[in-house]
Amino acid sequence: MHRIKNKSGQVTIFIIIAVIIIAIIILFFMLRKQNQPNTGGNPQENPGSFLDTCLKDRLTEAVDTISSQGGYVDPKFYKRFKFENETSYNNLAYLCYTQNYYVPCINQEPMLLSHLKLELHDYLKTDVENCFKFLGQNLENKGYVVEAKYNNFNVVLDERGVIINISGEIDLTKKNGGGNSIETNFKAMLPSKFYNLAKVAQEIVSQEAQFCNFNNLGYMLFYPEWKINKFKTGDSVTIYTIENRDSKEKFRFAVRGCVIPPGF
Amino acid sequence: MKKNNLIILTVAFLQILILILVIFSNSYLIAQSEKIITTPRLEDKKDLIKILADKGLNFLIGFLTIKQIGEVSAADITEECCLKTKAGGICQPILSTQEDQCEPGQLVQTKCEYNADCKYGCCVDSVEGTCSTNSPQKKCTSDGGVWNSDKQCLIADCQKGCCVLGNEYKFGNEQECNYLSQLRGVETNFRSDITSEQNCLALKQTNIEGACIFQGRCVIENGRDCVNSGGTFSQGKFCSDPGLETANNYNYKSHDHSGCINGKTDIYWFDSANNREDILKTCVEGSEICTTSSAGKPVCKSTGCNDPIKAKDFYQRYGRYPKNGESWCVYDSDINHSTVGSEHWQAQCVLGEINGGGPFNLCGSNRGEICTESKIDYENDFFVSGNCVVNEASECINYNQDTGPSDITFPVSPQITGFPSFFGSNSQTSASTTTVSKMIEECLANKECLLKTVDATGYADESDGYHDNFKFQVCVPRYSKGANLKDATDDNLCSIADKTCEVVYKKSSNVDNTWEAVINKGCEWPVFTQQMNDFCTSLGDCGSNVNYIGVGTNNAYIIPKKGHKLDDNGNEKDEASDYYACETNGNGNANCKNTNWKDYVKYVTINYMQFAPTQDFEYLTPKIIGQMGLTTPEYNDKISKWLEGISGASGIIYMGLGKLAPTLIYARYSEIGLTTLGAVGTATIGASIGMLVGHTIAKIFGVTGIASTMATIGGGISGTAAALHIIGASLGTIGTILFFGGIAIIIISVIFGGPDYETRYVEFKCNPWTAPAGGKDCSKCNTNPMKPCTQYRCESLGALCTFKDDGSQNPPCISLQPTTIPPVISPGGVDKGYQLTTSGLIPGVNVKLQKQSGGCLTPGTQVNFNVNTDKVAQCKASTQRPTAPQYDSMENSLIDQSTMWLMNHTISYSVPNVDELDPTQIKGTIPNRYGDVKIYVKCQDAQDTPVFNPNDYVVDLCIDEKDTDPVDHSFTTFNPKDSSYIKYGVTEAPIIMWINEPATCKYDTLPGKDYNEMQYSFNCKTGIHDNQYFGWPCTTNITNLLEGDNIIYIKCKDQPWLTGTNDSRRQINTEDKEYTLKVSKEVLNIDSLTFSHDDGTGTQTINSGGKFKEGVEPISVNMEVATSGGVNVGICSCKWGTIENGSRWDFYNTNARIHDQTLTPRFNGTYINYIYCEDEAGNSATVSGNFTIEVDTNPPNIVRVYHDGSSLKVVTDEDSKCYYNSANCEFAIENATLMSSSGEYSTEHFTDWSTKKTYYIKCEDKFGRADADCLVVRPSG
Repeated sequence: MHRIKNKSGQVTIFIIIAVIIIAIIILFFMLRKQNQPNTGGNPQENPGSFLDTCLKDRLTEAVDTISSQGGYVDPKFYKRFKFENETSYNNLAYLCYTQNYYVPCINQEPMLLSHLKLELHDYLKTDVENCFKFLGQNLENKGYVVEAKYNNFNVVLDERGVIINISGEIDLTKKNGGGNSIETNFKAMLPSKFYNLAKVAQEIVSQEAQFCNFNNLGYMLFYPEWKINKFKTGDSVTIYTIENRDSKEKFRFAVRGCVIPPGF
Repeated sequence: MKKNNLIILTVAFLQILILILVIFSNSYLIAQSEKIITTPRLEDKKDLIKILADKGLNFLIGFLTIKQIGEVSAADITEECCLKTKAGGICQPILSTQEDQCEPGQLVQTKCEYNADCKYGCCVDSVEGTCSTNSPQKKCTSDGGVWNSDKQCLIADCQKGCCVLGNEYKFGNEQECNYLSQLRGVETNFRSDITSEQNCLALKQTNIEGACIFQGRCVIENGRDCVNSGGTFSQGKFCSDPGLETANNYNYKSHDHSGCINGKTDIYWFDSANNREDILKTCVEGSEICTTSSAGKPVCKSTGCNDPIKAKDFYQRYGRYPKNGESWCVYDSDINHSTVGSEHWQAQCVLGEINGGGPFNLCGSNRGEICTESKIDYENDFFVSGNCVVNEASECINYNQDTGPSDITFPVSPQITGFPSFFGSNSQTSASTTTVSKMIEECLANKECLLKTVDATGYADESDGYHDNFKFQVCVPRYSKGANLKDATDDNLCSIADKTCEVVYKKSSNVDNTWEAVINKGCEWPVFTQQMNDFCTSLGDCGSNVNYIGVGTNNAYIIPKKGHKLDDNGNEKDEASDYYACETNGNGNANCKNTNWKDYVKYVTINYMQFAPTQDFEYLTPKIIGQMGLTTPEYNDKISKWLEGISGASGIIYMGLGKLAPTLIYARYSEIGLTTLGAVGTATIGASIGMLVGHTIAKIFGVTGIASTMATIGGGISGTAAALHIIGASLGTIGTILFFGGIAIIIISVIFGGPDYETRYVEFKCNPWTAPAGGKDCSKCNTNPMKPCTQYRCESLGALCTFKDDGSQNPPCISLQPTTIPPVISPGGVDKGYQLTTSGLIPGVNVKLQKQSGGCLTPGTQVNFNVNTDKVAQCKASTQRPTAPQYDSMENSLIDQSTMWLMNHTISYSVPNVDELDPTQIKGTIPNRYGDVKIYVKCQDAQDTPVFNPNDYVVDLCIDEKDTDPVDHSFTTFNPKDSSYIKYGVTEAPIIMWINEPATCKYDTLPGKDYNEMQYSFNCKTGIHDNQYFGWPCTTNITNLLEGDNIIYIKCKDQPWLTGTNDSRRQINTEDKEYTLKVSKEVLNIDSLTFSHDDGTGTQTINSGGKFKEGVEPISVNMEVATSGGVNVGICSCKWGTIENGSRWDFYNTNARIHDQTLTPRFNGTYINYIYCEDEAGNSATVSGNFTIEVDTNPPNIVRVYHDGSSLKVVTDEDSKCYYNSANCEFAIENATLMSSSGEYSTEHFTDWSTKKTYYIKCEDKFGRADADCLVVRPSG
């Protein structure tokens, strides 16, 4: 009997513990939801997540715009072009160009990756600063005294995606007199094939500038993850479209070189 | 007595005078009657000059775009560098004529290569490691790159190898590998020994994978990465292996789901932690690949392209559909007879899709690139590869330029010499055999060229000694390039096929005056037209041809022309022939037919079995020398012997008469003599008169040759008999017989007289192709989504078709709107020295053409001027007023491109003599007459129902009767050019000189001589229509050339038509025109051929036969040639090639004494190069040389270690650096102690000898190769 009683107590204790655990879980999710800012994640626990979310749309827009225009937000030297399945024209930057006949094109952006980072940087300048501000404001709303100092940011391109490294400092103090913490070096990331797309583009340009040609078929056989379309217009401009078969991301640009004039 | 004596003396004197004159008159008459050649014509020399002239002319024309009115000197155009164009491009080379395309202040008047900002090189991103070729220096460095002058990036930093990144392998350079490794947080593993992308990627297949347990989790990984990351590796096991799960306390559900793996073909199982397991389904290797269906399930999908429409060409050709990775060519028409507007396309099959679902790839527009295809057999299958390559059409035509004579400028005139048995001797010369065979060899070696033969021979009756000779071979493109259809500049190309065939006619009957063609009669038959049009169309978009949908126009014509009567030498006389070519004249031979584009409609049909084969660069060595039926030396020898015989006969006649004269002079002092002299003199006078009558009768009846001689002799016999009868010295019956016998001879000679010959010309005119009128077919350009419209295709469909390049993928081709307004004509440009003025005239109605000074035009000159239309139109111009307002009623004689749709129309007017004008065109009074000429112009637009100007546009001009100016030598052009260089050892050279008006010219080697005293003569064309592009040609062969400068002094006498009638009006130059030929003083030498390579530590240079030792491959090798001698201390142009009798390409830097060329990256092996250098004078030199690349893939070996004095000495089998460590073998070289040696790298290495130490020694060669193991040395005692 004694053993039975003990067992009942044990069950009760288990039930109580289970209720507490459930309560904690519910509380956790409730609190978590309440703390979630409308522009990002929980700023205190994960400022990166907040910034990811905050910058996601603009970053996506920037990457899409730049990718569809030969690496420029606002190309100055471009071929205006529209494919059959497109509704509007794009200004495709010439990444390699010569206006003469017979000679190979001249590389117009030899440091393409650096240039892309600059383009992204310029495009996102205001947004990154704003998101950083939102991060501070959001923390204030959550009961912190925030001292935020924004310095600058840089863009890193790598195989994982586009990474925004923000150089800044947030000094957080709880309003109710809690502890103090200092956050530095914030990071946001957009998963993307942008870096690899750009590297393929750079390889194409280098080969065009050297050999007057890029063997897209051979490249696709070596690297089946890429779909590379080469379209030569009537005025001998070659439009390259590089597409990642998995993510469907595209990078498109124009090249003009080794043009053979009509006639003798 | 004295009076009698005086009378007798006077009579004697007169008789003697008559006798002396008779010598000459008889000689003349006989000479006129017989075919006597007193000056042998050296066929080969003349031809050579003609060839040289035509060759020079055609190609000068070709390259100088002659249709431009006004003067543009190619020498004035230079290449400059635009730092930034208005369009936005950086560092663009532009021509000085394009300066307006450059941003203000951004133009540098030097080549970009020489500008510090724009110099092209390799830009290295020192962080990411990327290398960009052909990059401007400033742009690179200002963006943070490191610039190197090797614009192909064949530098150590950019040497590619295999980067191992965990499970992945990337082909790139070392810095890229470092960067990626850093990003992934793995140790850099760069395999520089793997230099092939294929081998690098193949490493993945050799991965030994298995389950890797790390911190309680399991992943599938290769063993090396697993161990490096601290995991426990179980080779060949899956993570769901029960044993592993139990041992490591995890539980993954096996065969949880299926899917595809990047880079693998089959469908795999995955466990619940998404780790690959075994194969669920094997896809067929090579033709299937795992892919995710639209429903999200993995399926095996065919990688081939079984599309019966898009892959039709492939299927027709090979009987199966293309596989993944295959590419092939798609054409628009029969590729061996390109239709206008047709293009070449490339199709690709990748992972089941043809061209990614888009259109075929357009090879360069206007067939600037062609698609070549090759089939590679392997095992029991084959692989097809089609690629766009540059169309070498221009190169094919250049072969003719390089090698000359049988080329496009073949002199078609049959060189008629002497008796009929030699008529039609082939005008080709033995002198040209070598060069012709070179052309043939080059042409046949290039698969993109075609050796075309035009042959209208085989119709002459050889038994009568007649030989046709209109036959030539020419190298033409197999796949011609398309022209710019709205630009006349390609007219020059088409005009290469402008040829004139000289048909020789013989009078077959004097009674009814009928003629028959005896030489080159084939030129009047359709075979001539057809073959010439084939030749014409093969050059490009020329002649009568169709567009790619099978609608065509006629743009090639035959123009029958009169020729000239032939003299006894077979040379043309000034006297025009009686009839035009192609007139039958009752003999029914001529069957002239113009070209018809409909004959070419058949070429629109695609022959799927045809494709352009890929060049294999293994050039053939054809053995076709002599194939062309060239003139043999034996032939020339035969002519010479025959000529000697004739000269001898002529000499006897002269000698006989000459001997008679002194006898007569002696006899005058004798009464008997006088009596005898009187009868002889009378007989002689009678004979002379009779001969003259006989000759005149023969001439009236058109009798020449032996018959003419017989008539002359018959006349002489009759005249003698008659004269003797008159003075009473009757010969009785004999005299009567002689008299009537002579008359009978004349009659017989006239009736059965010998042949009379004349030439007639069949001119073939090859004009640029023009689009059909109207625009009803324009929209057909946009109907095939796989073949988008291009400007070229669009404009081939109709004259009104306009390509609206709106930047879309398939830009529309539309037709211009119809209109009822005729083209508005206005004056355009005019040659220098002339003007077109509307002063005092009605604009749009007429214009006046006059000299810049306001004066009338000078006879014998040529003026080119333009009339413009406000829209594209065809124009005709003529001095004959149209008989009706309709365009078709108008004749055209003055516009070459009258069939072309143009806005600028060039009129070329050869100013005739006033005497040649119609009486209605001659104004003024004698002696102040002048020509009053009008040129009528009519133009029609390009509509289906064309609109033309009903009222003629009139160009008024006047022509001076007198030419008071001598030949103006400021317009004189020479070929070879003045002050040209000639090869070493050459002693004679044919030259051609073009002057600005018809004239006869002489020259001497001494200056200041009077025209009549000059020693040598030019052979000048003097007909008013004989002018060529640069003027009237005069040819000669300068002999006795010496080394150094050879100067000749030239004077000309104009207006040759005044010879004998008004010679005093002919103008002679007062000043000599100087012309210099410089003969080389020494031969051209190639002094050295070296190869060099920069291995990163310095440049190694080797001579032929040397070797480069390298640690990586491929390597970049620079080839350098040094030349000396020749005409300009070694300055020359050098070419190189890799096949002994193959193609040669210009050195990158040449036209100097040092010539260099960077060779494409070379791998391990031996390479031979063939060099050919030629200087301005044509001196040439050749050399060949080889070099070897030996790739060292082994680390240095220590072959000996010993105690050497106080040192420990280590000897290695190659130059290296050696290091030691005293602790163990596991040391990094950079942290170890370097042993001393005599140089940076050496085979001998030293360090202190210490018995207290143990030396762990590793050596590294200069390629960074070191053995992982070390040598352990423990010194003792």
